[in-house]
Amino acid sequence: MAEQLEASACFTKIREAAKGIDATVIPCPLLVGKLEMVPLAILDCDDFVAAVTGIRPRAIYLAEDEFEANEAVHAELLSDLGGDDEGEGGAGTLLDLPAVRQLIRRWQKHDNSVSGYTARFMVDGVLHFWGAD
Amino acid sequence: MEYCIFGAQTEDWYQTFDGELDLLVEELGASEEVRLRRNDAATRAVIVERAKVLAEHLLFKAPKATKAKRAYLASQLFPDSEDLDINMIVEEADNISWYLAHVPD
Repeated sequence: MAEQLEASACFTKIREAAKGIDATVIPCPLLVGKLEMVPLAILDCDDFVAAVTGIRPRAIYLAEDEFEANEAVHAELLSDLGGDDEGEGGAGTLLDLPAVRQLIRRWQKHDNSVSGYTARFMVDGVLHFWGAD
Repeated sequence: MEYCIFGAQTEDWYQTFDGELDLLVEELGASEEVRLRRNDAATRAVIVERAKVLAEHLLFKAPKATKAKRAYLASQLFPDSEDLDINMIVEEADNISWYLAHVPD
């Protein structure tokens, strides 16, 4: 395998490959309801780029996740600690805890930065996705 | 339907953030303060739910329905509720009943 690229550099490479084959780039994640029912090809960056240029899918789903510290922490609290979000003791109220506020403050410098990328396409019933670097 | 959005490739700094967040959530989950808050929230949700049922019961607004009679009704409807909770259910049902009677549809 070639030297591992940073996520952003690989995403750029994939975007260029999509442009090179005139694929329609759809800027949202390709979501799957029941993944266990879908044939998957999990590819690293170079193999994904090779698949794009070799298979030449008509559409590729390329999405960037924009980071927002408050929102990311809130979502994690809600998902892991559960409860009524805004009610007493809900995840929304836990945002006021000093340790939580401190974590949010420390990471707010990355607000509005891109934190993650997804690149996927589906051909002949097989979902190809970049995910093995 | 719950969608699967696994497999995002993330920036290095985000992985550090994610690790810190996981640690914090783990600590919070084990903390007494959060546990008490969550228990309070769960109890409160049950009380509100039961109060709604009580407020809609025919006997709740029956003539001469005193607070004691309403508490008795609540104890019959929710035999697993403790006395303190029964009082809170009746109080909440009173509020709901008053509110519904005064707020236009």
